[in-house]
Amino acid sequence: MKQFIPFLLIVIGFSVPLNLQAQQQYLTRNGIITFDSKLNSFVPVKAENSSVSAILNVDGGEIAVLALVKGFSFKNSLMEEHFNESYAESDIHPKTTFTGKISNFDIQDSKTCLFSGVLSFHGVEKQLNEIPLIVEIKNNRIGINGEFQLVVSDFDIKVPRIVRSKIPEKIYVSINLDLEKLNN
Amino acid sequence: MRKVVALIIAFAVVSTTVYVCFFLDRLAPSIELSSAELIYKFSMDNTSNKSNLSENNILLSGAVTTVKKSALIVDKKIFCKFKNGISDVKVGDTIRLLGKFIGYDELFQEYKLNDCSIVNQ
Repeated sequence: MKQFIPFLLIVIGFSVPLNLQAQQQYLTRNGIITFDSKLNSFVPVKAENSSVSAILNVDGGEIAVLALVKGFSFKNSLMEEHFNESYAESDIHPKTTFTGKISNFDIQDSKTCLFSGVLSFHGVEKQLNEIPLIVEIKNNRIGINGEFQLVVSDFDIKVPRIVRSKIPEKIYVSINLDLEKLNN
Repeated sequence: MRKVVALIIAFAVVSTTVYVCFFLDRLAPSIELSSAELIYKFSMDNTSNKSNLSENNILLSGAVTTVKKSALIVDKKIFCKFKNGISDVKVGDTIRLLGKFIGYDELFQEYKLNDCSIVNQ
């Protein structure tokens, strides 16, 4: 038994700081993601989801963001119905996720950081590289804001020929997260 | 001339009826469920059942376990986001609320309702 005690101490010694590190998480359930075609059309293609979940691991800068597709609300309810039924097929693909790492993240410093990771939507995974995000460190809170562009045809969305001219090729996605420290 | 007027009136009546029916149909349906029933219905691996949950408004009853600025967590598992702020609700209260089911959040392992409002008992 005595032989095992140093071994146990080493295991405990390693696991305690690891646990403390694991606790350094910031999270939100009220994040906002909007997408907008930014085209001057009669009925703008624009939607907002204000119940986005996100967890940020401060030590490594790893971030996971999840938005339920049915949480995107449009001004035009008919457009929302078409989006869910015909394009996003939200019964089959109910969520969109955004997982990856924020490089040069520093809990002490507010600055622009770069996100690289994978965005998943409509069952398609798309690699995103070095998306600039403004990271703002406040008291026990972290604000993350950014915008990037996506190409609709990358996501295997079937657009009927008759409405093809009305559906934009590019969509601007903006993300706005106000993460608070996880209290244990 | 009379024919034209009659035609316009008939058109107005028909279109108003269609419009009212369409919106009444959208506003009316709501399913009354407890948290456990909602979780059970969702857990049944059936797409039509899941879409049935999201097509209707959910009238949920349960006990409040967490109160946030514009959201409540009911029975530790159902995250309910409100349209407006929440007042006079505290942990332990039993409430009934009306909301729109949007799905299961795997990150927090919670079921989410949006656009919630409290329904008087």
